[in-house]
Amino acid sequence: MIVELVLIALINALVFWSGTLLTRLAPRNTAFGYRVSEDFDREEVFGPFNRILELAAVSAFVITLALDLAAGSLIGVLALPLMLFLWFDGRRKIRPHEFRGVLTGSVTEDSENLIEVPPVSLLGYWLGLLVIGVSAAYIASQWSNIPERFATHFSGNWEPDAWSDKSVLGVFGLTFLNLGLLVLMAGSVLPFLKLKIYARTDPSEAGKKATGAVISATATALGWFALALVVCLSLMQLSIVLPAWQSAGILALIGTLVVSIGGTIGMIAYIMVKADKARGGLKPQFNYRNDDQFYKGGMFYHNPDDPARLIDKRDGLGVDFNYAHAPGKIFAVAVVVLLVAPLLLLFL
Amino acid sequence: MITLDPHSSIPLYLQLHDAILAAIARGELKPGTKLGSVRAVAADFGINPATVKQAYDLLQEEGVVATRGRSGTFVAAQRPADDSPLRKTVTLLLSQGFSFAEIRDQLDVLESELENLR
Repeated sequence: MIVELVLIALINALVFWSGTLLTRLAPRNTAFGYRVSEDFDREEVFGPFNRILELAAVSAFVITLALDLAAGSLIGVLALPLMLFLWFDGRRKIRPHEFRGVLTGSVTEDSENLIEVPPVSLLGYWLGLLVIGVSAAYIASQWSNIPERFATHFSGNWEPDAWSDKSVLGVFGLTFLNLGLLVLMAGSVLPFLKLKIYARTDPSEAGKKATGAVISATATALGWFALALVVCLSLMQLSIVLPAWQSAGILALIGTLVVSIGGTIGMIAYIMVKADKARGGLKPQFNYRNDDQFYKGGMFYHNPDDPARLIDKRDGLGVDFNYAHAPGKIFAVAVVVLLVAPLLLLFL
Repeated sequence: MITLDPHSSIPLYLQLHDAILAAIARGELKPGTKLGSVRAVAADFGINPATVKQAYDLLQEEGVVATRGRSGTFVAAQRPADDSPLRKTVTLLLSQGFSFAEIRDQLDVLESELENLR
Protein backbone atom coordinates (compact mmCIF):
# COMPACT_ATOMS: atom_id res chain seq x y z
CA MET A 1 0.00 0.00 0.00
CA ILE A 2 2.68 2.49 1.06
CA VAL A 3 4.93 1.34 -1.80
CA GLU A 4 2.10 1.97 -4.25
CA LEU A 5 1.44 5.42 -2.78
CA VAL A 6 5.13 6.39 -3.06
CA LEU A 7 5.16 5.09 -6.62
CA ILE A 8 2.07 7.15 -7.54
CA ALA A 9 3.65 10.20 -5.82
CA LEU A 10 6.83 9.72 -7.87
CA ILE A 11 4.85 9.38 -11.10
CA ASN A 12 2.86 12.55 -10.27
CA ALA A 13 6.08 14.45 -9.58
CA LEU A 14 7.52 13.17 -12.87
CA VAL A 15 4.43 14.29 -14.80
CA PHE A 16 4.81 17.85 -13.48
CA TRP A 17 8.58 17.84 -13.94
CA SER A 18 8.26 16.59 -17.56
CA GLY A 19 6.95 20.05 -18.48
CA THR A 20 10.45 21.47 -17.99
CA LEU A 21 11.67 19.27 -20.86
CA LEU A 22 9.67 21.52 -23.14
CA THR A 23 11.97 24.49 -22.63
CA ARG A 24 15.10 22.35 -22.31
CA LEU A 25 14.52 20.57 -25.61
CA ALA A 26 13.11 23.56 -27.52
CA PRO A 27 15.32 24.52 -30.49
CA ARG A 28 17.16 27.80 -30.13
CA ASN A 29 15.21 30.79 -31.41
CA THR A 30 11.86 29.03 -31.46
CA ALA A 31 11.03 29.29 -27.81
CA PHE A 32 7.28 28.86 -27.28
CA GLY A 33 6.82 28.68 -31.05
CA TYR A 34 7.93 32.24 -31.76
CA ARG A 35 11.18 33.02 -33.53
CA VAL A 36 13.23 35.40 -31.42
CA SER A 37 16.65 36.85 -32.18
CA GLU A 38 19.75 34.86 -31.26
CA ASP A 39 20.88 37.26 -28.53
CA PHE A 40 17.53 37.22 -26.79
CA ASP A 41 18.03 35.90 -23.28
CA ARG A 42 15.74 32.92 -23.28
CA GLU A 43 16.74 31.78 -19.79
CA GLU A 44 15.02 34.83 -18.37
CA VAL A 45 11.71 33.76 -19.85
CA PHE A 46 12.18 30.06 -19.19
CA GLY A 47 13.29 30.58 -15.56
CA PRO A 48 9.85 31.09 -13.91
CA PHE A 49 8.32 28.46 -16.22
CA ASN A 50 10.73 25.78 -15.03
CA ARG A 51 10.81 26.94 -11.36
CA ILE A 52 7.00 26.69 -11.07
CA LEU A 53 6.97 23.20 -12.61
CA GLU A 54 9.79 22.02 -10.34
CA LEU A 55 7.94 23.42 -7.30
CA ALA A 56 4.72 21.78 -8.54
CA ALA A 57 6.57 18.44 -8.90
CA VAL A 58 7.75 18.56 -5.27
CA SER A 59 4.30 19.68 -4.09
CA ALA A 60 2.60 16.92 -6.08
CA PHE A 61 4.90 14.36 -4.39
CA VAL A 62 4.14 15.64 -0.88
CA ILE A 63 0.37 16.11 -1.44
CA THR A 64 0.01 12.66 -3.00
CA LEU A 65 1.65 11.07 0.06
CA ALA A 66 -0.81 12.92 2.31
CA LEU A 67 -3.80 11.56 0.40
CA ASP A 68 -5.06 8.04 -0.11
CA LEU A 69 -4.33 6.05 -3.26
CA ALA A 70 -7.53 6.94 -5.17
CA ALA A 71 -7.31 10.72 -4.54
CA GLY A 72 -3.51 10.75 -5.01
CA SER A 73 -3.68 9.21 -8.43
CA LEU A 74 -5.80 12.16 -9.61
CA ILE A 75 -3.17 14.80 -8.71
CA GLY A 76 -1.24 14.22 -11.95
CA VAL A 77 -4.30 15.28 -13.95
CA LEU A 78 -3.79 18.84 -12.68
CA ALA A 79 -0.45 19.01 -14.56
CA LEU A 80 -2.10 19.60 -17.91
CA PRO A 81 -3.99 22.82 -17.08
CA LEU A 82 -0.93 24.15 -15.21
CA MET A 83 1.39 23.44 -18.16
CA LEU A 84 -1.10 24.99 -20.58
CA PHE A 85 -1.35 28.11 -18.41
CA LEU A 86 2.46 28.42 -18.18
CA TRP A 87 2.83 27.82 -21.92
CA PHE A 88 0.39 30.59 -22.84
CA ASP A 89 1.87 32.88 -20.19
CA GLY A 90 5.37 32.21 -21.61
CA ARG A 91 4.13 32.91 -25.14
CA ARG A 92 2.57 36.18 -24.03
CA LYS A 93 5.92 37.26 -22.55
CA ILE A 94 8.07 36.23 -25.49
CA ARG A 95 5.69 37.61 -28.14
CA PRO A 96 7.08 41.21 -28.03
CA HIS A 97 10.55 39.81 -28.81
CA GLU A 98 9.34 37.99 -31.93
CA PHE A 99 11.64 38.51 -34.89
CA ARG A 100 9.96 40.44 -37.68
CA GLY A 101 11.62 39.58 -40.94
CA VAL A 102 11.64 40.97 -44.47
CA LEU A 103 10.89 39.28 -47.78
CA THR A 104 13.73 39.03 -50.26
CA GLY A 105 13.65 37.90 -53.86
CA SER A 106 14.40 38.68 -57.48
CA VAL A 107 12.21 40.30 -60.13
CA THR A 108 14.28 38.95 -63.03
CA GLU A 109 14.22 35.39 -64.26
CA ASP A 110 17.07 34.26 -61.97
CA SER A 111 15.38 33.25 -58.77
CA GLU A 112 16.95 34.09 -55.40
CA ASN A 113 15.21 31.49 -53.27
CA LEU A 114 14.70 28.58 -55.65
CA ILE A 115 16.53 25.47 -54.46
CA GLU A 116 18.28 23.40 -57.10
CA VAL A 117 18.28 19.66 -56.58
CA PRO A 118 21.53 17.99 -57.77
CA PRO A 119 21.10 15.08 -60.24
CA VAL A 120 19.48 11.98 -58.76
CA SER A 121 20.65 8.46 -59.64
CA LEU A 122 17.61 6.30 -60.39
CA LEU A 123 19.77 3.22 -61.00
CA GLY A 124 18.62 1.56 -57.76
CA TYR A 125 14.95 1.69 -58.84
CA TRP A 126 15.69 0.35 -62.34
CA LEU A 127 17.87 -2.48 -61.00
CA GLY A 128 15.08 -3.30 -58.54
CA LEU A 129 12.63 -3.58 -61.43
CA LEU A 130 15.13 -5.80 -63.26
CA VAL A 131 15.52 -8.11 -60.24
CA ILE A 132 11.72 -8.44 -59.92
CA GLY A 133 11.40 -9.20 -63.65
CA VAL A 134 14.27 -11.72 -63.74
CA SER A 135 13.09 -13.61 -60.64
CA ALA A 136 9.49 -13.71 -61.92
CA ALA A 137 10.67 -14.96 -65.34
CA TYR A 138 12.87 -17.62 -63.70
CA ILE A 139 10.00 -18.84 -61.51
CA ALA A 140 7.71 -18.95 -64.57
CA SER A 141 10.30 -21.03 -66.44
CA GLN A 142 10.46 -23.46 -63.47
CA TRP A 143 6.64 -23.73 -63.25
CA SER A 144 6.66 -27.56 -63.48
CA ASN A 145 9.03 -27.79 -60.47
CA ILE A 146 6.68 -25.87 -58.17
CA PRO A 147 4.86 -28.26 -55.79
CA GLU A 148 1.04 -28.28 -55.74
CA ARG A 149 1.11 -26.94 -52.18
CA PHE A 150 3.92 -24.94 -50.60
CA ALA A 151 4.46 -23.42 -47.15
CA THR A 152 4.13 -19.63 -47.02
CA HIS A 153 4.54 -18.97 -43.32
CA PHE A 154 6.67 -20.48 -40.58
CA SER A 155 6.30 -20.54 -36.82
CA GLY A 156 9.03 -19.53 -34.39
CA ASN A 157 10.74 -22.92 -34.50
CA TRP A 158 10.77 -22.98 -38.30
CA GLU A 159 7.70 -25.24 -38.64
CA PRO A 160 5.38 -24.28 -41.53
CA ASP A 161 1.99 -23.08 -40.28
CA ALA A 162 0.38 -21.68 -43.45
CA TRP A 163 0.23 -23.06 -46.98
CA SER A 164 -0.75 -21.84 -50.44
CA ASP A 165 -1.98 -23.73 -53.49
CA LYS A 166 -0.08 -23.50 -56.74
CA SER A 167 -1.80 -20.59 -58.49
CA VAL A 168 -0.66 -17.43 -60.26
CA LEU A 169 -1.60 -15.29 -57.25
CA GLY A 170 -0.03 -17.70 -54.78
CA VAL A 171 3.26 -18.04 -56.67
CA PHE A 172 3.61 -14.43 -57.84
CA GLY A 173 2.11 -12.74 -54.76
CA LEU A 174 5.57 -11.58 -53.65
CA THR A 175 6.26 -10.26 -57.17
CA PHE A 176 3.27 -7.96 -56.82
CA LEU A 177 4.32 -7.00 -53.29
CA ASN A 178 7.79 -6.16 -54.60
CA LEU A 179 6.36 -4.07 -57.42
CA GLY A 180 4.12 -2.28 -54.94
CA LEU A 181 7.13 -1.58 -52.70
CA LEU A 182 9.12 -0.16 -55.61
CA VAL A 183 6.21 1.99 -56.81
CA LEU A 184 5.64 3.27 -53.26
CA MET A 185 9.31 4.23 -52.84
CA ALA A 186 9.57 5.88 -56.27
CA GLY A 187 6.15 7.52 -55.87
CA SER A 188 7.00 9.04 -52.51
CA VAL A 189 10.15 10.58 -53.97
CA LEU A 190 8.64 11.89 -57.21
CA PRO A 191 6.77 14.97 -55.84
CA PHE A 192 10.02 16.24 -54.31
CA LEU A 193 11.77 16.05 -57.68
CA LYS A 194 8.89 17.51 -59.72
CA LEU A 195 7.76 20.41 -57.51
CA LYS A 196 9.86 23.55 -57.13
CA ILE A 197 11.37 24.01 -53.67
CA TYR A 198 11.88 27.48 -52.18
CA ALA A 199 14.07 28.56 -49.28
CA ARG A 200 12.00 30.30 -46.61
CA THR A 201 14.26 29.82 -43.60
CA ASP A 202 17.87 29.70 -44.84
CA PRO A 203 18.18 31.34 -48.28
CA SER A 204 21.99 31.52 -48.12
CA GLU A 205 23.86 29.69 -50.89
CA ALA A 206 25.15 27.11 -48.40
CA GLY A 207 21.69 26.58 -46.96
CA LYS A 208 20.09 26.11 -50.39
CA LYS A 209 22.83 23.68 -51.43
CA ALA A 210 22.38 21.63 -48.23
CA THR A 211 18.60 21.40 -48.69
CA GLY A 212 18.99 20.42 -52.36
CA ALA A 213 21.58 17.79 -51.42
CA VAL A 214 19.20 16.25 -48.87
CA ILE A 215 16.49 15.77 -51.52
CA SER A 216 18.90 14.37 -54.09
CA ALA A 217 20.61 12.04 -51.60
CA THR A 218 17.27 10.83 -50.21
CA ALA A 219 15.93 9.99 -53.68
CA THR A 220 19.15 8.19 -54.63
CA ALA A 221 19.51 6.31 -51.34
CA LEU A 222 15.86 5.24 -51.30
CA GLY A 223 16.40 3.60 -54.70
CA TRP A 224 19.28 1.48 -53.40
CA PHE A 225 17.32 0.71 -50.23
CA ALA A 226 14.38 -0.47 -52.37
CA LEU A 227 16.76 -2.62 -54.46
CA ALA A 228 18.22 -4.29 -51.36
CA LEU A 229 14.72 -5.05 -50.03
CA VAL A 230 13.56 -6.33 -53.43
CA VAL A 231 16.59 -8.69 -53.65
CA CYS A 232 15.83 -10.13 -50.19
CA LEU A 233 12.11 -10.52 -50.89
CA SER A 234 12.78 -12.10 -54.32
CA LEU A 235 15.12 -14.60 -52.65
CA MET A 236 12.37 -15.27 -50.12
CA GLN A 237 9.93 -15.89 -52.98
CA LEU A 238 12.34 -18.34 -54.68
CA SER A 239 12.89 -20.22 -51.40
CA ILE A 240 9.14 -20.53 -50.83
CA VAL A 241 7.99 -21.74 -54.25
CA LEU A 242 11.00 -23.74 -55.51
CA PRO A 243 12.20 -26.70 -53.38
CA ALA A 244 15.73 -26.35 -54.86
CA TRP A 245 16.01 -22.84 -53.35
CA GLN A 246 14.57 -23.74 -49.95
CA SER A 247 17.88 -23.28 -48.13
CA ALA A 248 18.02 -19.62 -49.23
CA GLY A 249 15.05 -18.85 -46.98
CA ILE A 250 17.08 -18.23 -43.83
CA LEU A 251 19.49 -16.04 -45.82
CA ALA A 252 16.58 -13.99 -47.16
CA LEU A 253 15.14 -13.58 -43.67
CA ILE A 254 18.41 -12.41 -42.14
CA GLY A 255 19.02 -10.20 -45.18
CA THR A 256 15.61 -8.51 -44.81
CA LEU A 257 16.27 -7.77 -41.13
CA VAL A 258 19.80 -6.47 -41.78
CA VAL A 259 18.65 -4.34 -44.74
CA SER A 260 15.66 -2.88 -42.86
CA ILE A 261 17.67 -1.78 -39.84
CA GLY A 262 21.14 -1.27 -41.33
CA GLY A 263 19.74 0.26 -44.51
CA THR A 264 17.77 2.88 -42.58
CA ILE A 265 20.79 3.87 -40.49
CA GLY A 266 23.01 3.85 -43.57
CA MET A 267 20.54 6.01 -45.50
CA ILE A 268 20.37 8.63 -42.77
CA ALA A 269 24.18 8.70 -42.50
CA TYR A 270 24.55 9.02 -46.30
CA ILE A 271 22.03 11.90 -46.45
CA MET A 272 23.69 13.73 -43.56
CA VAL A 273 27.17 13.37 -45.05
CA LYS A 274 25.92 14.65 -48.43
CA ALA A 275 24.17 17.63 -46.80
CA ASP A 276 27.24 18.43 -44.72
CA LYS A 277 29.48 18.32 -47.78
CA ALA A 278 27.11 20.57 -49.74
CA ARG A 279 27.00 23.08 -46.89
CA GLY A 280 30.79 23.26 -46.96
CA GLY A 281 31.18 23.92 -43.23
CA LEU A 282 29.16 27.14 -43.39
CA LYS A 283 26.66 27.87 -40.66
CA PRO A 284 22.97 28.43 -41.44
CA GLN A 285 22.09 32.07 -42.05
CA PHE A 286 18.53 32.39 -40.91
CA ASN A 287 16.49 34.98 -42.68
CA TYR A 288 13.50 34.73 -40.34
CA ARG A 289 11.69 35.99 -43.41
CA ASN A 290 8.44 34.33 -42.58
CA ASP A 291 6.43 35.34 -39.61
CA ASP A 292 5.31 33.00 -36.90
CA GLN A 293 1.72 33.54 -37.97
CA PHE A 294 2.52 31.31 -40.98
CA TYR A 295 4.03 28.54 -38.87
CA LYS A 296 1.19 26.69 -37.18
CA GLY A 297 2.33 25.25 -33.86
CA GLY A 298 5.70 26.84 -34.58
CA MET A 299 6.59 24.36 -37.33
CA PHE A 300 3.89 23.66 -39.95
CA TYR A 301 4.09 26.27 -42.72
CA HIS A 302 0.62 27.41 -43.79
CA ASN A 303 0.63 30.47 -46.06
CA PRO A 304 -2.11 30.58 -48.72
CA ASP A 305 -0.51 33.68 -50.32
CA ASP A 306 2.78 31.86 -50.95
CA PRO A 307 2.65 29.92 -54.24
CA ALA A 308 5.52 27.65 -53.09
CA ARG A 309 4.35 24.06 -52.55
CA LEU A 310 7.61 22.89 -50.99
CA ILE A 311 9.88 24.89 -48.68
CA ASP A 312 13.00 24.23 -46.63
CA LYS A 313 12.37 23.02 -43.10
CA ARG A 314 12.24 25.58 -40.31
CA ASP A 315 14.24 23.37 -37.97
CA GLY A 316 16.57 20.62 -39.08
CA LEU A 317 17.45 19.24 -42.49
CA GLY A 318 15.28 18.77 -45.56
CA VAL A 319 12.01 20.11 -46.87
CA ASP A 320 8.40 20.43 -45.81
CA PHE A 321 5.11 21.28 -47.48
CA ASN A 322 3.21 24.53 -47.52
CA TYR A 323 0.09 23.07 -45.94
CA ALA A 324 -2.13 25.75 -47.48
CA HIS A 325 -1.98 24.03 -50.90
CA ALA A 326 -3.21 20.70 -52.25
CA PRO A 327 0.09 18.70 -52.08
CA GLY A 328 0.56 19.62 -48.42
CA LYS A 329 -3.05 18.78 -47.56
CA ILE A 330 -2.81 15.41 -49.38
CA PHE A 331 0.41 14.63 -47.50
CA ALA A 332 -1.13 15.58 -44.13
CA VAL A 333 -4.21 13.42 -44.79
CA ALA A 334 -2.01 10.50 -45.95
CA VAL A 335 0.07 10.67 -42.75
CA VAL A 336 -3.04 10.75 -40.55
CA VAL A 337 -4.60 7.85 -42.48
CA LEU A 338 -1.38 5.81 -42.19
CA LEU A 339 -1.29 6.45 -38.45
CA VAL A 340 -4.98 5.82 -37.80
CA ALA A 341 -5.62 2.93 -40.23
CA PRO A 342 -3.73 0.28 -38.20
CA LEU A 343 -5.70 1.35 -35.11
CA LEU A 344 -9.00 1.05 -37.01
CA LEU A 345 -8.03 -2.43 -38.20
CA LEU A 346 -8.15 -3.55 -34.57
CA PHE A 347 -11.89 -2.86 -34.49
CA LEU A 348 -12.77 -4.55 -37.80
CA MET B 1 18.06 41.33 -54.60
CA ILE B 2 14.94 43.25 -53.62
CA THR B 3 13.71 43.50 -50.05
CA LEU B 4 10.07 43.98 -49.05
CA ASP B 5 8.80 44.70 -45.56
CA PRO B 6 5.51 42.93 -44.82
CA HIS B 7 5.07 44.97 -41.62
CA SER B 8 5.25 48.36 -43.36
CA SER B 9 2.13 50.49 -43.80
CA ILE B 10 3.01 50.81 -47.51
CA PRO B 11 1.22 48.01 -49.41
CA LEU B 12 3.46 45.24 -50.76
CA TYR B 13 2.54 45.92 -54.41
CA LEU B 14 3.65 49.57 -54.04
CA GLN B 15 6.90 48.50 -52.34
CA LEU B 16 7.59 46.12 -55.24
CA HIS B 17 6.68 48.83 -57.78
CA ASP B 18 8.99 51.35 -56.10
CA ALA B 19 11.81 48.80 -55.81
CA ILE B 20 11.62 47.99 -59.52
CA LEU B 21 11.63 51.72 -60.36
CA ALA B 22 14.68 52.22 -58.14
CA ALA B 23 16.47 49.25 -59.74
CA ILE B 24 15.82 50.71 -63.20
CA ALA B 25 17.03 54.16 -62.07
CA ARG B 26 20.21 52.60 -60.63
CA GLY B 27 20.83 50.82 -63.91
CA GLU B 28 20.51 47.35 -62.38
CA LEU B 29 17.55 46.62 -64.62
CA LYS B 30 18.49 47.74 -68.12
CA PRO B 31 15.95 48.58 -70.85
CA GLY B 32 14.89 45.37 -72.60
CA THR B 33 15.52 43.18 -69.52
CA LYS B 34 12.88 40.51 -69.15
CA LEU B 35 11.14 40.51 -65.80
CA GLY B 36 10.24 37.20 -64.19
CA SER B 37 6.70 35.88 -64.72
CA VAL B 38 4.11 36.95 -62.15
CA ARG B 39 3.98 33.43 -60.74
CA ALA B 40 7.76 32.95 -60.58
CA VAL B 41 8.37 36.31 -58.87
CA ALA B 42 5.51 35.68 -56.41
CA ALA B 43 6.94 32.24 -55.59
CA ASP B 44 10.44 33.67 -55.11
CA PHE B 45 9.25 36.28 -52.59
CA GLY B 46 6.57 34.04 -51.13
CA ILE B 47 3.79 36.55 -51.82
CA ASN B 48 0.43 36.41 -53.59
CA PRO B 49 0.69 36.47 -57.44
CA ALA B 50 -2.08 39.12 -57.45
CA THR B 51 0.31 41.47 -55.60
CA VAL B 52 2.99 41.07 -58.31
CA LYS B 53 0.35 41.50 -61.03
CA GLN B 54 -0.81 44.74 -59.39
CA ALA B 55 2.75 46.10 -59.34
CA TYR B 56 3.36 45.08 -62.97
CA ASP B 57 0.03 46.63 -64.07
CA LEU B 58 0.90 49.93 -62.41
CA LEU B 59 4.38 49.94 -64.02
CA GLN B 60 2.79 49.20 -67.38
CA GLU B 61 0.27 52.00 -66.91
CA GLU B 62 3.18 54.37 -66.26
CA GLY B 63 4.96 53.11 -69.38
CA VAL B 64 7.95 51.81 -67.37
CA VAL B 65 7.48 48.24 -68.53
CA ALA B 66 5.82 46.74 -71.59
CA THR B 67 4.06 43.43 -72.01
CA ARG B 68 4.77 41.72 -75.32
CA GLY B 69 1.92 39.24 -75.70
CA ARG B 70 2.80 35.86 -74.28
CA SER B 71 6.56 36.40 -74.27
CA GLY B 72 6.46 38.30 -70.98
CA THR B 73 7.06 41.68 -69.38
CA PHE B 74 10.11 43.75 -70.31
CA VAL B 75 11.67 46.96 -69.03
CA ALA B 76 10.51 49.53 -71.64
CA ALA B 77 13.29 50.26 -74.11
CA GLN B 78 12.21 53.75 -75.05
CA ARG B 79 10.75 56.71 -73.28
CA PRO B 80 7.38 57.98 -74.51
CA ALA B 81 7.40 60.21 -77.65
CA ASP B 82 6.06 63.30 -75.90
CA ASP B 83 6.96 64.71 -72.50
CA SER B 84 3.43 64.42 -71.09
CA PRO B 85 4.39 61.99 -68.24
CA LEU B 86 7.14 64.39 -67.14
CA ARG B 87 4.76 67.35 -67.15
CA LYS B 88 2.11 65.32 -65.34
CA THR B 89 4.54 64.27 -62.58
CA VAL B 90 5.86 67.81 -62.03
CA THR B 91 2.29 69.19 -61.94
CA LEU B 92 1.37 66.51 -59.39
CA LEU B 93 4.33 67.48 -57.18
CA LEU B 94 3.47 71.19 -57.41
CA SER B 95 -0.16 70.45 -56.55
CA GLN B 96 1.06 68.60 -53.45
CA GLY B 97 2.78 71.76 -52.26
CA PHE B 98 6.38 71.16 -53.38
CA SER B 99 8.10 74.31 -54.63
CA PHE B 100 10.16 74.56 -57.84
CA ALA B 101 13.26 75.03 -55.66
CA GLU B 102 12.55 71.84 -53.68
CA ILE B 103 12.05 69.84 -56.88
CA ARG B 104 15.32 71.22 -58.33
CA ASP B 105 17.20 70.42 -55.07
CA GLN B 106 15.82 66.89 -55.04
CA LEU B 107 16.89 66.43 -58.66
CA ASP B 108 20.45 67.45 -57.75
CA VAL B 109 20.50 65.01 -54.83
CA LEU B 110 19.21 62.16 -57.03
CA GLU B 111 21.71 62.99 -59.77
CA SER B 112 24.70 62.87 -57.44
CA GLU B 113 23.42 59.63 -55.85
CA LEU B 114 23.13 57.95 -59.23
CA GLU B 115 26.53 59.35 -60.31
CA ASN B 116 28.11 57.70 -57.25
CA LEU B 117 26.53 54.38 -58.13
CA ARG B 118 27.90 54.38 -61.68
